[in-house]
Amino acid sequence: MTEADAIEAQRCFHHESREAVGRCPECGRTFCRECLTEHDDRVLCSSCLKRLDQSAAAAPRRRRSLVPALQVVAGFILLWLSFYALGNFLLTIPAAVHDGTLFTDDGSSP
Amino acid sequence: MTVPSRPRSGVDALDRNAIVILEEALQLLREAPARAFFCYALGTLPFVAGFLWFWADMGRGAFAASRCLPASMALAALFVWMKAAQSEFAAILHRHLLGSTADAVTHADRFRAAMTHAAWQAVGFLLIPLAFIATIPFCRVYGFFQHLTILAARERTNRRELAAKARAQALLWMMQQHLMLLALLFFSAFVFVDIAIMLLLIPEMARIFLGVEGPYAMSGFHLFNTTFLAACAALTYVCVDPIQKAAYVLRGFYADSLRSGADLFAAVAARGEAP
Repeated sequence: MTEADAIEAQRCFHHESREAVGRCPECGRTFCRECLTEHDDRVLCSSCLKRLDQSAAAAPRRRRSLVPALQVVAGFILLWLSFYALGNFLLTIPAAVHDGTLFTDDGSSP
Repeated sequence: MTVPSRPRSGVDALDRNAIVILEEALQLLREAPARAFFCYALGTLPFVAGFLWFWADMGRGAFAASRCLPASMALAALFVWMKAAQSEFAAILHRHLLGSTADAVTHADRFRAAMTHAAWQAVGFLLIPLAFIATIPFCRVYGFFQHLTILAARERTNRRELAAKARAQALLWMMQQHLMLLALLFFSAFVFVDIAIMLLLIPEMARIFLGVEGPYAMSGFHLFNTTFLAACAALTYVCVDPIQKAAYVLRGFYADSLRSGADLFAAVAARGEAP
């Protein structure tokens, strides 16, 4: 009996009434056509694929979520400082310039 | 039906004249739903009022120095609020262009747009004046931040992809963009002068025709008052910016249409609705 015949004789781990078409290299169980999927040039079962996805995303996910938040905070602080600089610039301008009385002799409006 | 004088293909096929873009922008604003203008006003007017208060207070307030830090933080928050509202305004206009009646923006889109503007707009405060001084890159830099505003509430992607798309759209049809901004600059100058004349004359007209003479009319001629000039500039911005935003919405729409053919679908949909 060949290996293909052996697989054909086996049943899907999730669906007992269906014949198995392949074996998952991660868990070694046999599955039908619907329970196997191709990922990174390998055919995996849905449970192993989900487990691999979670373990791959778990470590860098925390790092990714911090950088955008830091960008937002840094950007807002920079925005705040820009308006603060504008405010300080306006404070340094003499009142006569703000009033428009700089070019009048007695300080009245032109 | 008129036949084009020469065959155009690819990117050139959607490269419209700057005046045509501005005319289409005005038409888009005429046809836009009232919700778009309500959204724009809800975002822009608080910032404009806050900015003018800030300007007047920092120019004349006795204890303004102690208020500068908290006031500038409030102004920064209002600025982010304004840019997020303008992004929603642009999203509603874009939906109208596509002929879709679905709600344009969700709360998640608004929050994402606000975070995008909080992260990016401060960079614009630094880059745009530098680009203006350098002159040559000004259109690219200014166009990038305008396209970023247009896309922020519409594109459900991360900030890096959003910035890449805004940059790609800003680099399209540079001559059109240059001429469009030049036309808007001249238009803004006329609007500024009109608003200044109106603000100077209204108190005088009220005194002549109604006999009403308030402190503003009695205070004399204020053309050189910095708060007066800032108020004229702020009102000019409120009048001209919707046209500019609509023009950039159209630029973005035509840029997307190069790949998606959205302009063709919109034209077919419009013909289907016409009697």
